[in-house]
Amino acid sequence: MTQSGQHEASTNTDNLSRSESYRETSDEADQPRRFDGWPRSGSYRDEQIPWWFVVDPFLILTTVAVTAFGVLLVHSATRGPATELQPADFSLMRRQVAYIVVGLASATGAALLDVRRLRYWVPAGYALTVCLLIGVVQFGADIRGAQSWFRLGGFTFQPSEPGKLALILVLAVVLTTETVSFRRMLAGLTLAGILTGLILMQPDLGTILIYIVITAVMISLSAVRFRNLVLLFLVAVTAIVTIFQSDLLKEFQKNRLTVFVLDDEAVQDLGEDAIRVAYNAEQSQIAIGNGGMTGQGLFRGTQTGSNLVPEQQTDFIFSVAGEELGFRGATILLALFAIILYRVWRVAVRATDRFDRMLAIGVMGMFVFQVFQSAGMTMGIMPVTGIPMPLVSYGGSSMVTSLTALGLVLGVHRRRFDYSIR
Amino acid sequence: MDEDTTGIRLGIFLFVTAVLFGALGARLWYLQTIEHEVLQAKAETNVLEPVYEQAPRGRILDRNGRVLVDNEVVQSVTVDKSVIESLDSAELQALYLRLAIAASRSGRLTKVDDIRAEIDDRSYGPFERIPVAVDVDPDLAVFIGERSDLFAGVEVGPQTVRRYSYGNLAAHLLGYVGPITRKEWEAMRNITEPDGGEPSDVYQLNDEIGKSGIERLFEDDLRGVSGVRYIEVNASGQPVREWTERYRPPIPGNDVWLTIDIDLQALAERELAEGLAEARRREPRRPEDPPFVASAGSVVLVDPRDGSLLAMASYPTYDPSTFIDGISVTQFEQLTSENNFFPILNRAIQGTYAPGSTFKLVTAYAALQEGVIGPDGIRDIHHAYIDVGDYQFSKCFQESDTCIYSSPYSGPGRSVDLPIAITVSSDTYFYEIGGEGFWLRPNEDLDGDGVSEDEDLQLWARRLGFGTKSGIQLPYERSGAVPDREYYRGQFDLGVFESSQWFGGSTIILAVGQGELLVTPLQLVNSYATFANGGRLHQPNVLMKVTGAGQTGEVLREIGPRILRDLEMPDEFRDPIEQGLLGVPRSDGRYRGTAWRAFADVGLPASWRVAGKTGTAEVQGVADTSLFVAYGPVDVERNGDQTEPDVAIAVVLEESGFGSVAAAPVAARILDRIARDNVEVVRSSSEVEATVSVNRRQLQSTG
Repeated sequence: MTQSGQHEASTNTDNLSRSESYRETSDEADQPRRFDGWPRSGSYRDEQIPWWFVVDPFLILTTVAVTAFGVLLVHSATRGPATELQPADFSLMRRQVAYIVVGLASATGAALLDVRRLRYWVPAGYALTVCLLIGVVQFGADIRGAQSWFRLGGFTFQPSEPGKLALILVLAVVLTTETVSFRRMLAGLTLAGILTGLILMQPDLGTILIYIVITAVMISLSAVRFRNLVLLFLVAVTAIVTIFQSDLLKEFQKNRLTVFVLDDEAVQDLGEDAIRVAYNAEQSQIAIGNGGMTGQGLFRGTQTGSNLVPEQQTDFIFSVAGEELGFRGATILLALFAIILYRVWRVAVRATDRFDRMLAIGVMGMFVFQVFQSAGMTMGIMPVTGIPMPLVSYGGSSMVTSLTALGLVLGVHRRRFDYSIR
Repeated sequence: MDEDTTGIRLGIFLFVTAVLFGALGARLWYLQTIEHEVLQAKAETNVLEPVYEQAPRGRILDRNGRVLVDNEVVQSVTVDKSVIESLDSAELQALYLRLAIAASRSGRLTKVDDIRAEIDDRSYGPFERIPVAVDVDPDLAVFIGERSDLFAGVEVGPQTVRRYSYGNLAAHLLGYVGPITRKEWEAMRNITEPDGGEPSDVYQLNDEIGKSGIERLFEDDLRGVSGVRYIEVNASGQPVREWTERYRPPIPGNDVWLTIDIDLQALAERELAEGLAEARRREPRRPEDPPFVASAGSVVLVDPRDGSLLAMASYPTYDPSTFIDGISVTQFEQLTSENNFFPILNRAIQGTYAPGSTFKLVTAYAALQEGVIGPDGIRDIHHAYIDVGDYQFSKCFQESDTCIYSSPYSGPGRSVDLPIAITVSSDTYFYEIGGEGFWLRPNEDLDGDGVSEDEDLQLWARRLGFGTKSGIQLPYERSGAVPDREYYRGQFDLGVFESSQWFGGSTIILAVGQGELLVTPLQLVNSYATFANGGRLHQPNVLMKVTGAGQTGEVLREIGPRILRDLEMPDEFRDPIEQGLLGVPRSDGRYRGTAWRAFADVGLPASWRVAGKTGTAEVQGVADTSLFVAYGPVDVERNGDQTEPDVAIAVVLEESGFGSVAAAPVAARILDRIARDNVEVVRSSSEVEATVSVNRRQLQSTG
């Protein structure tokens, strides 16, 4: 095999022997060639590859579709009774649209970013994130018992949301090498651990779980040796058991994680907070079950209209979909997520660069966990932890972060066709 | 270096993702199809607040279709809790005060504390209007309507309440309604509606429920099913909309027709009160005797042909309308106070008395049945016997060898046989039946009736309905007691009696209806009715039929005569006893019946022959209970047919002296009216009101 050899990090390191594209890319790397129907090589800047191959239209369309879904669901959850005396409340829906616009702009920027510049900025971004996370614990507003938000005028900003991107990027940088040594793995774990530890100060249990899952997924899919992975797994299990037995987590936090598998009587013994959490989880399942096959109709869910499910515009938004759109609508929503995730996975598989692949994998891990957790929580198969459903839940930080993450993935996709920026 | 497994790892990652999404889809399917109906029901109860609409309660009518209890729409003051919630305590206090003044001024005395207690009652739902004053002047609606700024959340509107057309008449029988107690409500929750309605729909807190009498026992017939509107509310309790498709209109209760005749009831109550008043005016024969308090009594009339109740009077009585809108504690205490002689008691079924000589019918009948009197007995029916005024019982178990039982009131020296012994109420004759007849029989069961021979008197008493509840459809009936050895042992074990030993004397005084024998007036009249109809012991009926609501409601169920027992009553037994009973209210020159004077005074038509028996039961420490039981007409031909007696009556007057003096005249006057078909027609309160307003109009037009 001829090697182009210019970029150590990106040329021969990908041993996707199945990848036809790689081989053919190598053959005619320096020769601009005519587009003959399917882009196997070359750069779109050669104007031989049409732009719709450079962007991923499926990913973009499904993303926009999911955000549109989200806008309707957020409106349904926040419009109020909408009687003659009290017209429907559009304020949160308008804001959500605004967040989407900002998020799309941010995503476009992320997609167009030069990867070298991106890598260059990662340490700075990480440092900034650490500062913000320290700052939010110091100066953040206390909302529902956690200091996770900065209050800026009429807006709140949650630094742990963009912090997820910083985590993905920093791990992508650290774990890009051909083989990831034990020390490198430890370095990655340390960097991730600092961020996680800072969020533990807030405390924000749900976000911590996201950080842990992102780290776990990215380490598992990097070139870490299998025995190191097993070792890490054992250490993690020990750590989880230790944490659960130590006082690091408060009693009520532990209860929240376990309450969803307990029956009513056992919950009664755990005290007020556990009862409330169990009640919320039950209300959410009632709402979803109430939807049935066809749903109650958009804006016509009785449980949604009565605000019986807590936080139904954010963490519990899937219950609105379940009640108002029924099995059909909620399945469509999940299917759209599945398409997004498949497209991200496809980008990861076809990425021509280890860094890019790790980036896409990190984003995918984040999405998989957040979707599964936030939907599973409303259906009683996951513990109640405050995790927004990406692209759907109301909230600027989450929306901009999610869209930006997908923008980064689109950038990975773009770079597959672009040698000039290697 | 390890083999690069990135491709495998990516594949595993996609597989894990697919599994997770599969789990989400499966759970979604489970919740939305398999669990859908369960969760949908929960969702509806979550958001639907039921608002109940009172269903009109069924009416109660007498046997001729005269309405005894009806519903009436009155104006009542209600308060909307959600409006006054915003007021502070001073404003509330002022509002209550204004309300109390306004309501009291309009004719319904209302206390501030009552209003506060009602409003603070937690059993009212958030959308219910709380009634604070019922049955106010309609002008109050205008008064309050014009001052809506002063009376925030207050409304005057229609409400249905129970209306007792004949005032106090038959108060004990009809019973009363009141708000359901939490205990009753919890008990009723477990009842499911026949049409499959939710159990909790049957009663709501603050619903009315029958508390006694007919209102209680026929609650299931009288009670309608509340209508219900479903209001969807949001999590903070604000109404969103009404689910009109779920509206269920109220179903009115059914009408209950009683066997009583309200005119007879009025007659019985009036004569009872009059009889007691007369008794109070009398002086005891000797100054040291206890005075005639004559505070309480009962008159019961039944139709012997089918056991239906014609009238049931109990004195003292009360006004059932005091229970409308809840009764105050003081009022209720007055009704249950000993000083007022427990007006709440229905003495016809709850009062238990020694029957005295009225029991001699039972003794005579038992003696004939058992052969105590007859060819093989201690004497024949027409065997003459000299009543010397006392009876010496040789087989006495007391310390001395003989015991003497003296007849307290009947003078000595008369020659009596069975009919005459009944007519003149010879105690010694019956002492002898008890002592020489029953007591000296073997103490073992020879004839296989389950009772030893010397207790066969008690057996026949029980067969005539004593010692057990008659089974009339009224609550809280008492069973009385027919004492025997077993009863004595039981009472001794309970610590009531000092001795468990049954003596010969016990049988002897039982034969004249004294001792521990206790009967209710209804049992007494039922036993005579059984004798009158030739041996059919009926379970007395007070319910005639149940019809659907409205004027042309179809008959839902009809109650026919319920025969508990058909007793053998051959003419050779029945005739001599009836002959004796027929002699009681008359005098044939040689023998004066014990009640002859009472009936002579009234002048009952001779063609309407009464068979009766007086009773004077001794009660420790107080004046005697005065009793009279009778039936009639006996052997009267009507339109060429032999008619059966169609009325039986028992009169029981507490602490009133001789049965012949106090109770017999009451019965005589009632039977006289019946015999002459001269029972006064009572007018319901609405008829009275109509007449009054007509008179007033006439006055106005003439004036």
